[in-house]
Amino acid sequence: MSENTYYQQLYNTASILALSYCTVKMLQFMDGVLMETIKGYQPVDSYVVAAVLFFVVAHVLSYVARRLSWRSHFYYFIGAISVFFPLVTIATIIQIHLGISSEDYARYITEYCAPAQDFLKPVETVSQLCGKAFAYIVYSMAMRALPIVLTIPFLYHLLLVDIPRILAKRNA
Amino acid sequence: MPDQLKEPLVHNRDGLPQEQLIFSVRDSPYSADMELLFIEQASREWFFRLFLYMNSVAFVTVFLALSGLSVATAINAIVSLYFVLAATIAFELRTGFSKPSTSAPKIGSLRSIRWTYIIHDLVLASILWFNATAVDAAPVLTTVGAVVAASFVTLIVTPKSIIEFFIGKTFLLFTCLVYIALSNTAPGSDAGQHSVEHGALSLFPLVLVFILMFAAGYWIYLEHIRQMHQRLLQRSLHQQIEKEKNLRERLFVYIGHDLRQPINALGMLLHSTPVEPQNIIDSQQCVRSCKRLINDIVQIADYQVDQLPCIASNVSVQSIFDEISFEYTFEASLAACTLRIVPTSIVVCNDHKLLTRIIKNFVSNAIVHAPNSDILMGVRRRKNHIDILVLDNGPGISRQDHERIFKEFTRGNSRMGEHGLGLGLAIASHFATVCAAEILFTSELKAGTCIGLRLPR
Repeated sequence: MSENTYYQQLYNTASILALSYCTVKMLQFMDGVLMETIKGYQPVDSYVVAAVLFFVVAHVLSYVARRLSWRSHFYYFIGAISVFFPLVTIATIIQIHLGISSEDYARYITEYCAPAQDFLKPVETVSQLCGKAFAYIVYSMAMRALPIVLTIPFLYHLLLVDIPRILAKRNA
Repeated sequence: MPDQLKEPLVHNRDGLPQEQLIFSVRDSPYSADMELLFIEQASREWFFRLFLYMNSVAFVTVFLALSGLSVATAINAIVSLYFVLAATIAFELRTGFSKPSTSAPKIGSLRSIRWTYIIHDLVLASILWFNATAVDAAPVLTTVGAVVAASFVTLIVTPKSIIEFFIGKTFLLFTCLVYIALSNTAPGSDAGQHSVEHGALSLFPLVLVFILMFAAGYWIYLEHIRQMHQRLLQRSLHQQIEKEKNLRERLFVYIGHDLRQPINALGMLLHSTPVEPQNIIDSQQCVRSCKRLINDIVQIADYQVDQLPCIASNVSVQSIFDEISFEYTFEASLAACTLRIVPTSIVVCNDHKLLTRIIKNFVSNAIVHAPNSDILMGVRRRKNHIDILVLDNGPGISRQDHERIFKEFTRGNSRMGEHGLGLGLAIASHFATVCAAEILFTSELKAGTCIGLRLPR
């Protein structure tokens, strides 16, 4: 990752795109698994937000790794763990602002905010969602994204560090 | 003066380097290097520092949301605090070390790192403010507990810089106390949302937790600086070993060349027949040359060991002069020098053996490098110190060579075959450091040289 040529950047972008696709597929898979195993679990349809966020953060991470000359797996795993929870929180905030379906709102209010809110009223604004519902969304998103933290750094290191290094050695 | 001789290591009775007690960066002789190391380390860890605080903010805020904080306040808190965290790190990177591996850290960067540490603790403290101003807030003790717990986790980052750690945590403690106090006195506190039951009793665990935090932080800080000290000590010793290795290699080269030369000459002179008076004089000169080299080698042993004890006693300077006069008068006469002494009654409290060696070295240099000159030894009394001086009216030394002559293997012009290894003054400097003395040196070309030793009275 030390070189910063046009082809290198193109390769990085293509790799990150592929990893974003993997992330979305893994999220879908995890949603399916959690729906099967946890009673009452409802997936939050934020695959696009998750993919876009992953793409941006992976690019930033790639830039930082190049700048700080990260070579070891350790940095990538710690880096992934470091960005994981803030990323999930940001994704939740974006998702809430972009809009959750009114059915989901009603469900959250019924399940988590019932004593405080009149759940029979139509839900229109973010402020009507209570803190518990927000925490629920964050935690459920964190839970389903957890396997990604354990697998994606390995793929990320393989695609963006190991393979370019092997290719560079071979070319040299 | 050679660098390696400036700061002799402190040794214990067993001759091992004495372990130094370090309670802050200032206690270490490498404090300046430590600061640079700290900047270097901080420049590598900014990414993890940023995300550690981002995680702390997210965990605390989501936890508070679970405990009743309204969504709007939680989101406002997260977004605004993330912005502050990112801005401080961006400022830190901009002022200092965007390229740590290629550019040297700047002074400004240290200041920005310290400010970042303080601001990051303020960021955690400001969660209390967000909760205090929220319409739907989490319970006071839950909020304080969550913030303090997060602050405890960030200990692993902040104690690298102890003053900032104490400022940040003290501010956090103060904010918590004010928050609890205001919550109890706020209108509507009876409602239970912003109130704390058992007022003062709830402060005791809080203060206890902060005392623990300060203690743990200081312990982490001590561990960190001790590790840095050890690393720098190792680096310094490694450099010293390299330098001494280099010195030894050069010494062997010089010995191989300079000692072989007079011995070969002596062998040839002894085999020559018939024996002429000039051959005897030349042989004596060869023997003197060998003796001088061997003396230098003997002195090198002390120089290398670096464990010279300074055994102080009352030393009569006149006794040193008498000893030197007895030993060098004949040698001076051979070099057509006159050796004169100004009698003195001064007594100093110092190491007799080392003082004698140093002054012998000065006189010996004068004889070798200033033939046909008058050499004068005397003492000059000053208010707080005395100067033992050796003066000659020989050819003198040019100004550009003044610094050079104190370096190892530096030799001046001398009579044929009379030069040593060029270590005399370097060794004398080392001895002077051990004796807590200072070497005085002035010289002018064609005017002569004055070299001496300044001793405290």
